[in-house]
Amino acid sequence: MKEFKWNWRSFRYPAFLLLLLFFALLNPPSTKYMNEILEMFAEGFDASLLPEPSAVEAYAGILGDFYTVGLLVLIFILMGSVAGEKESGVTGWILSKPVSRWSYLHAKMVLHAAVVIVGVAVMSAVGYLYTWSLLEQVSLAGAFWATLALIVYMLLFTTIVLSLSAILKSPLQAGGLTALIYALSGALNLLMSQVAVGRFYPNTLLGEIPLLIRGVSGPGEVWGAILITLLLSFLIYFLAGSRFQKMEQH
Amino acid sequence: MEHVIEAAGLEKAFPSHKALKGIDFKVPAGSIYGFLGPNGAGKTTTIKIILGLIAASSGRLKVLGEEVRFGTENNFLHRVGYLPQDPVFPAGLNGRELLQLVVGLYNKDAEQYAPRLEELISEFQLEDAARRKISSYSRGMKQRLGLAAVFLVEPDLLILDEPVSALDPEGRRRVLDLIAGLKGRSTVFFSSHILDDVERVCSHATIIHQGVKMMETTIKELLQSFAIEQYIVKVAPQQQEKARELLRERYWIRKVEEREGSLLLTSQPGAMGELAENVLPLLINNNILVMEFKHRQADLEEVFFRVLQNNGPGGEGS
Repeated sequence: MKEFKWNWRSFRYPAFLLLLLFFALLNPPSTKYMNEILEMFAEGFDASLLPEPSAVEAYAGILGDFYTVGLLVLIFILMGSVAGEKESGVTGWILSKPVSRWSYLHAKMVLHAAVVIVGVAVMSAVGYLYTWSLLEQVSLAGAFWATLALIVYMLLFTTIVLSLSAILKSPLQAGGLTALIYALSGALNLLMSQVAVGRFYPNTLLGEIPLLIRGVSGPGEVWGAILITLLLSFLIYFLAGSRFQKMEQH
Repeated sequence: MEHVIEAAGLEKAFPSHKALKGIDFKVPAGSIYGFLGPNGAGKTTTIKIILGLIAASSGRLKVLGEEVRFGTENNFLHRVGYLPQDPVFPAGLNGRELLQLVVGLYNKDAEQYAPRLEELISEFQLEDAARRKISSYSRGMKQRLGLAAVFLVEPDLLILDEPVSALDPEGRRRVLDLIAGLKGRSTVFFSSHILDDVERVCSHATIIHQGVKMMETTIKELLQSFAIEQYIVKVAPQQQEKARELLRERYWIRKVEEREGSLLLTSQPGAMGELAENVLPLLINNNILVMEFKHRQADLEEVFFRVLQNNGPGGEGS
């Protein structure tokens, strides 16, 4: 609870949730009225040449913003979760109490994961309903699988940033390295998409999101990547936690 | 259990220096144990090893009967309360929430501990502060809150690292009284470089310096064995110079100094008895009016520096 209180009172969690809400509320109207806006500001522009705004496009845009800007903000929020407390001496104070190091990490992991799962799910639902009210209904099953794929991908980076925060000295190192991994994973995706095993690569989940929303792709296409991403998250967390057990707290 | 902490050959090497060079000590159950040493002596390093926060390079350590092994779960922590030198607490909480968190961390029943929590808030004069965020606290308030957190769960062993260093004289006295009141009920491991505090509350002490144990004994024995062989003589002011000249010539007196209107006499080594026997007759026979004659009680500060002088680098050896 102290972790939740601190993240809430320091406006970290509210900032993350408000950002997701902002994207959930921004995309549907901007998609719907984009042609009118362009007509208004671009002289001689013929809106009839553009395709009709679609609900799929608006909803995919929401989830796209979640895993780009939303994910970077999440990394920024969580990078000091352990490293900041190590730096200030709070970790040493907590571990001098009858609290195991695994319990200390689990408490943070469970809370951050819960905030990501609930936050993304709720804001995705808000975006879904708003898109429906402004444009038309998107396939509910497609939205569900797309949101699930997104949550799993964001959980991977929640795990990475928390793990690096546990084993590195400063929040900046943890955040910087996680952002670098995020950028490199995108670059590596270009390579992985060329090989058969690439369908299990975590970034495949992002590529599948618009397809799942459109109904072109189904759960069968993402199960493998979901499973591998969850296993990878677990492995990263386990390795970092094991390292954290042996780290001195000065 | 006879000893609450047993350390044997404790060593700690950091990449840049060796903080502990094989120290041994035993903390008797129910004692208030002073862990003395100048800044940088290795006190905090020892405490962190005791708490399992850092690993000893070598040596053995038992706390509350349990072998301390770094990197494993230490069950004895359920019975230990720790106050760091500069208390740092989780951000975003107020004082009351912090104490509630401590109750939770020790798996205690929140309802059962609620009255004690309020009692300690009042005892440590944190009534107004308890509603405020800890980040707004002064260093002294943080220290009081930290002490309240340690006292809250009534641990068997309290490890206090410089516990009153940030308190005002009144706060210091109150806290030292509280610590003294724990004697016989809990064991207190009290690290300090403020010797007056240790002298006031501790029954036993270990002195360390540059990672080496200089001495481990009771405070009483420490004061006795390093007692300075000195007497204070107060004579009529107009006769002070004459008295000084008379005393200076005696073979059993090493030094005569003027101190706050009196004469401070230091005996030659082993000549304490002669000094005690002869000073008064000598002065009286020379018609000097003696207003005061008393043995000078050495305080711990002098003892401390004498121990360091005798045992420290370049000292005379123990």
